[in-house]
Amino acid sequence: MNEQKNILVVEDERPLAEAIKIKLEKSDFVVTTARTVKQALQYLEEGVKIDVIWLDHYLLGQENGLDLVAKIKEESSSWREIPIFVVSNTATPDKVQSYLRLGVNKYYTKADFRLELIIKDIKDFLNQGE
Amino acid sequence: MKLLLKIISILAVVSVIAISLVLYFIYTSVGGTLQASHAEIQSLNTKQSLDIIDRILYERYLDIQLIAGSVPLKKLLIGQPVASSDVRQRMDEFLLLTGPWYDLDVINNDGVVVYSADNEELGENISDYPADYLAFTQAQSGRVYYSDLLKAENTQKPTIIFATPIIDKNKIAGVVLGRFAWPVILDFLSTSGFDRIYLYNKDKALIGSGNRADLVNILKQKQPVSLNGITPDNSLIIKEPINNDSVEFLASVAYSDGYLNYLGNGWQLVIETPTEKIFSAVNKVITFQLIIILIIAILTALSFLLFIFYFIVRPILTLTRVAEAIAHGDLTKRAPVVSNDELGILTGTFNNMIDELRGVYGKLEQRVAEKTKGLSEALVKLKKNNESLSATQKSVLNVLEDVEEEKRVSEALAKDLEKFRLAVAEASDHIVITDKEGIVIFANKGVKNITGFSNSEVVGKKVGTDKLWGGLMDKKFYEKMWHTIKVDKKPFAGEINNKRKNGELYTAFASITPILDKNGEVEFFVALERDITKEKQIDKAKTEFVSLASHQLRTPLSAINWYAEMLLAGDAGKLNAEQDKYIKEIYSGNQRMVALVNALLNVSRIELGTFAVEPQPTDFSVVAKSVIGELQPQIKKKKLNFNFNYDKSLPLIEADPKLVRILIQNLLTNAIKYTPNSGKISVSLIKKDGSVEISVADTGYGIPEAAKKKIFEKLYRADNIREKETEGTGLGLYIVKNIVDQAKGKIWFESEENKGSNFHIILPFKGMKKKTGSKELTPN
Repeated sequence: MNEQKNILVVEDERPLAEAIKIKLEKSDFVVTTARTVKQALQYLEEGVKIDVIWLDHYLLGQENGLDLVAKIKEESSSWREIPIFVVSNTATPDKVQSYLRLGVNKYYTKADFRLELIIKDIKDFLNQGE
Repeated sequence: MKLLLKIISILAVVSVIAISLVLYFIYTSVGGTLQASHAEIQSLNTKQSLDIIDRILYERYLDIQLIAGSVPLKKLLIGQPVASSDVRQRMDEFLLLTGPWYDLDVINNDGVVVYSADNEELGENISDYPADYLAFTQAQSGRVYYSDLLKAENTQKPTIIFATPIIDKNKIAGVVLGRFAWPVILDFLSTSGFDRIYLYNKDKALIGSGNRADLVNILKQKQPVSLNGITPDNSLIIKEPINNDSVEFLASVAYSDGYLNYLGNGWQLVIETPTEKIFSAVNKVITFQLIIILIIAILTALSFLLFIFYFIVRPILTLTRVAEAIAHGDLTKRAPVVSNDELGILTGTFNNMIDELRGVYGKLEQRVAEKTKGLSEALVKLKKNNESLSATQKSVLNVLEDVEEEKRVSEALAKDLEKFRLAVAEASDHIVITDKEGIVIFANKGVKNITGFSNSEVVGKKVGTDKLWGGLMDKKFYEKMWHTIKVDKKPFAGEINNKRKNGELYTAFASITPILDKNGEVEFFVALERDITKEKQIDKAKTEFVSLASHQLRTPLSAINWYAEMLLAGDAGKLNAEQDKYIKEIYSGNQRMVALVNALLNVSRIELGTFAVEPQPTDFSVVAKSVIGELQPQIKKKKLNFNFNYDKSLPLIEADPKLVRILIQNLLTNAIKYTPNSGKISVSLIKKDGSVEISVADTGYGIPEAAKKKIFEKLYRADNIREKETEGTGLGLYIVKNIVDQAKGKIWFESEENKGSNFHIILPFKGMKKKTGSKELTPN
């Protein structure tokens, strides 16, 4: 019934990315990880089917999560419909507002939420769409 | 001479205006007349020219009928024998004597060309050519036909087709058709003597022009729109673009109504002359008149000047010289009276005045001499008096010794005062003394050092305005400040944003004190200001550091959180009881760390002033219930007797629900934390007059008397609880107090050690004002 979903995790902190990956795989996701905006876009361009994106704000390199969201949500982008969940520790209201205005689905403060809870939200969202 | 200069300039101005007016009048009247007469002549020329064209065409109208009467043609058409050389000879004569024609065709009733002057169309059927066919059919109906100007169907040359029936014994035997050679009209136009003469048909298309270059435009170009509405009786000034320039023309028009039987085609002829050309004649007239008027004006002005100089200026100058001499004390000079007008009277009066002045002076000298005599007598008396005075002097000297003593004291005082003045002048703080209106009367060196304005720039100006370093705060601030020191007559202290002379902004801590006189009225203000920009910057940097560091701390905390979470969930295999217990300790320790970092962040936001307030209609009971729901596990764990009451009539209150949440959460967390197992906690929301009271009461450890004063201080924790409960940051109540202050509310508590505490917060319904900050406070 529930086929496996592909999730792209964009997180620069290796231990955190690792934890997210393990937990997601336990929850039946196929996980791809990226540490920079460039990497993430490369995966998308390669045509790997992505159902949902898990995104941190601060990333390796010059560009941050907002840059990635801006590119994905561009008018001409074919990935516009991919839902995005931002999980970050920089919860300033202006940034949260920027993300939500760009069309991000939800914003979580990392330190305040358990992995399980975030994953449950994502799953509920994806199932609801079916 | 200054007087003369004034008169000359007035005269010059007046004559320039007068000459300009006269010239303007001449120019407009001469120009107008000239234009009108030119228009009349041109109008007449236009009518006559069109008349000639009509007459030329009338003659062709007759010609074609003459040709139709030719006997050989009739014979040819009705089939009687006739030599073809006879026909040709007759037709050649017509071609030579009438027309001129491009071509003459004879067409039988079947529409077949039976004779053609140029032989080319012989035998063709006329119905193949619509214009010719129309002429043919019209003529067959028995009338003399002529077309408008058109392009011949075979040669494309502009022409007019004339056609008439050939009648034999009252029967139409055929039609003769002639194509008029249009260049005849064009030759007439180009030799008419007008540069711009244009012939338009009734569709307003150009059909003829005096300018051969316009030939290509025939039947293509339309008459200019500006000519619309012009009638033969009036001439019109129009503007036409020529070489990117708009040129003005006087245009006349005539409408054709034919000549006798020839009724014309409703054509119109237009003749245009550039107005410049018309007015060049006016300009010649004006130039000549201008020279004459100038000569007359200059001669008049010169004679007027001579008159004024001899009869007015010269007597006044003489009078002035005499007056100068008198001013220097020479009373013998007199001015000559040269006329009996007002000037003469003035000179006479002036002379009389000098006479009287001389008399008065003489008397005065006499009286001075008398007075001096009295004085020398008085001097003798004075000498006597002097002697007695010197006696008195001795006694006075004694008194003076006492005075000397007093002087020493006051000198010492003055020295002190000087020291004090120096201290003020050299002080590094900004010190200004103003009068009661705020006008600076003294400014020390510190003012120059801090503001950049020198003493001379400052003294005499009003403080608190943008002329000096002030004026940056809003109007209300200054109003309040002046009210405090001027009306309440109380010292004012506060932070002010100011601007240095070079435009740089700085923050000053100002303290302004009114100095009152004996009657309690303000005499001066003394303002002391200290530049605290650096202190503020350091303070900000400190808080920003905490904020940044807290963010960085959250990353490893998240890692610990999530890995502990996975271990506890058995993601790495099932844990034994001991492992489970240890990891739980790690997890809860880490949770406390997260709460501490959140609290530190909140404190830094409060201190930076960057936290946002976003009021919206908020149901306090909903917020309270949500907090209680979250804390339910702890309440249950401690087996606390919990109680929540709220006023059902509590309205929605304009407040930031996040901040309300932080208030209730902190008070309730404290109550749970500091109440032993099986204790009692009650939370209540009560509606007061225009405000809401939040109360959280517990039967916990209470606050010791000595700690009560410090309980809202940052990082403070009371001794009794530090022994009992290790958890707690010492930041909760500090944050609560700050939020309550921001919302213009009140917070207080009653507490007794080991009996419990009761905290109350009162928030006015409209206390929370919107504040856009870059950060918002996060719950623990």
